Amino acid sequence: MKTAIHAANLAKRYGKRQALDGLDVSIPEFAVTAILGPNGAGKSTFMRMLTGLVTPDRGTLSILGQHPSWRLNASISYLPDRARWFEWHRVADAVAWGAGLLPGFDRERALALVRDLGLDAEMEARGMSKGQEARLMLAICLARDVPLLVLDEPFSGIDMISREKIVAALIDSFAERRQTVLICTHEIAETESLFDYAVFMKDGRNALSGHVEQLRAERGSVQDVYRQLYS
Amino acid sequence: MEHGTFAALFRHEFHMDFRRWRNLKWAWIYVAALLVLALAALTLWGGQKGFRLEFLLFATYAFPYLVFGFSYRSVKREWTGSTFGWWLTLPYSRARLLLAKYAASLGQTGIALAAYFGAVTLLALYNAAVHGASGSELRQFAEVAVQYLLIVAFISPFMLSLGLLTGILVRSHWKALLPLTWVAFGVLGNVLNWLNLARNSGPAGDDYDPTLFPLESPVYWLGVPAILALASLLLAGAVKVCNKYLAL
Repeated sequence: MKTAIHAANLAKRYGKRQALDGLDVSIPEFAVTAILGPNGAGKSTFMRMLTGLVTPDRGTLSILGQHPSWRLNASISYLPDRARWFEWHRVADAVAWGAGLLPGFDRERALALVRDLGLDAEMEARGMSKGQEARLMLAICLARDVPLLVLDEPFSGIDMISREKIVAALIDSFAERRQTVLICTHEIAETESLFDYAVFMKDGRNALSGHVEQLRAERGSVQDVYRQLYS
Repeated sequence: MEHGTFAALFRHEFHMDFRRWRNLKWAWIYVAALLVLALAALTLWGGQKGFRLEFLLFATYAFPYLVFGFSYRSVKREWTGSTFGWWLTLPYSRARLLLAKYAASLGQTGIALAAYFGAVTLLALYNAAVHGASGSELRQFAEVAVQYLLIVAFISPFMLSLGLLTGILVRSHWKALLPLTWVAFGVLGNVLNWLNLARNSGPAGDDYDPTLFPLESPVYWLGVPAILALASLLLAGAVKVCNKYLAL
């Protein structure tokens, strides 16, 4: 299996806190990969590095055979951690924003996705619940036909119904497209079935990584592995 | 895809504020109340001795600050609204992203100036209709109004760049420079007052001269290149900080 993302000895420090501390990881192409770990493990820093939001202090990072850059972002659909949507946008404006600015954005698919996710084109982002806003942001990301999809905490702080809708949308999307997908999440129980590959991070390093089937055969479910590593 | 992306970025930045203002009903109530007050004041005192139509132009003094606010807010809202992750991961250079904000703020400045000077012109015409001002008085007022408009228009590129740079510095490793940019904002935003003070040492009254520089003054053609050079320098600084020194 080919590698989509390769990181070697990645390090990043924020003041006194070492967010990444020599991270080595290879993520396979066309797989749905879970990036897992407790808060402060360095997951979001790694995700941000993929899109050039954060630059490493040392180490090398290769994504689809290139270094992170704004040009490479044309090939990456990224859902930022703790992001909000532009509050004065209606859903229709958000779709128009994507169509105008994001390469590979499929307007018809976006409109179908927002409809399926229970959103109306005239809804304003500022009046939305957190779950509705999360669904809108996910729809914008999933409407792009690009090689790499990076979702940082897509379920953070949202209700069970919204989570179920998002998981259903993800399953449909993965079935339709051949993409490399990275999902960083704490909601392992609800999302375990999505994953082909898992990376467990601890203290800014790769504590364990491997194919989910192999991990299950050797150590139990992804949840079990998580408990073994972090409890 | 590349074709028209700048226009799409511009529209996005420009419309964000347009929507905000459209939805701020209380702001429009204030605007309407101010217009009613201005009309009432002109009706009551417009024809009296000592009243100068040029007094209507004093609100222009706030414009450099307002212009700074347009560009500063366009960046700051990305941090406070938690939308910076969308903005900064767009597949366009940071220079392009910032230029779109600059252009949108410039557009907003143009609209604000047109609206203000349009309103002032209508008020001057109303005053002339009610109190029978002469053509020469109106012409004199128009000349002074154009001077104020030109000064604000010329200082605007600099204030816009300063606003962008200040907004970017807020989330950068060079945050320590913020006091300097705020001092520059305070001092240079007061440009019209400095110019007026330099020309009028006495109190405003019959002898008060509201003119700044005659239109043929070399200040315009000497000052504009200097202002544009400074504005370009600050804009380049904002791009540099955005590229290398953001603290996200």
